[in-house]
Amino acid sequence: MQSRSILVPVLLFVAAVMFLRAPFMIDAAPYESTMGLIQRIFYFHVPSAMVMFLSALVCGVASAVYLAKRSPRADAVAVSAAELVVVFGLIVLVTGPIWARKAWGIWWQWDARLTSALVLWLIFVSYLLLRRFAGAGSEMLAAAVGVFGMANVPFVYWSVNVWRTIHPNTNVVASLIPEMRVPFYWCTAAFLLLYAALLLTRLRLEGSRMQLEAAYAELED
Amino acid sequence: MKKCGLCFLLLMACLAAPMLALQPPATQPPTSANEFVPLSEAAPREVLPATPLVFYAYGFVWVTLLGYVFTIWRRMAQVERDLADMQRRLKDGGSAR
Repeated sequence: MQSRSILVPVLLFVAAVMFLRAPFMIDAAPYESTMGLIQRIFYFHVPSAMVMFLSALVCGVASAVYLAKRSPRADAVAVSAAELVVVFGLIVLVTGPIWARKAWGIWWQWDARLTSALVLWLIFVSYLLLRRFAGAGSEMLAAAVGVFGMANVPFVYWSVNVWRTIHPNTNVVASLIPEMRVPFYWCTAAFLLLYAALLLTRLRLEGSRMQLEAAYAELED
Repeated sequence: MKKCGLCFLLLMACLAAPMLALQPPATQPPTSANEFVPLSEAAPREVLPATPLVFYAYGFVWVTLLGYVFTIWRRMAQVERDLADMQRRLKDGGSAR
């Protein structure tokens, strides 16, 4: 328990140091030939999308475990991860159109990648709404929604390679030159550390809530 | 007879339509320019500065993340306050019995 209470501050500290260093690394990276300065959004937009996908997978797996074993701990992981999908998804869905406005001349295009990413985000918003408003027993229904949300992740990821879309495809990251690749992976690592810290903190909140519910039940008895 | 002819023509039209649709479109040669327009006289195009957009994007990321951390901290404080209150009530109830 002691190691866990130290882990979150350590993760947050390392992530903060990395985020403080990130602007200098991004500034030193070369401009992209056609997009210029606006392409700098890439260094936060794509890592946010990766964290969104990761969190959706965590939520889906935890929801599947909850459906199979009725484990309250799995349910706590699922609801915490779902909340983080919504947070990082919001970052993706706002920074993307800001980039698109300059690069494509439009804020939004109803193409496969953008639409499927929006649908994924809406699925996890509906998960949270179910947890918030559907009352007792909503955990099961929400868990099914969580698994469904996870199943959407591969479609969103490969949509750029399968359908015709104006969004860059998945080869872009692999083809980055070292001067762009290093700041990109630096930012990705910082986002992953931040995600781990936020997930653990959110899990602690869920644990406290469970304790509170148990205390209420004890008081009623 | 007249009716048969009309049917034949309609049938031919129906058969010909897909064949015509499959034909590659006739390529239009590029039209030659009648005049060269200097860039300074061209209709103004929208020039959107990138710097504020990059600033808004990064600003939004930080506002969202810090806002989320603030909501977690607030919810955590509320739950721990309720928990402490509940434990005090349980202790009082236990000692009253």
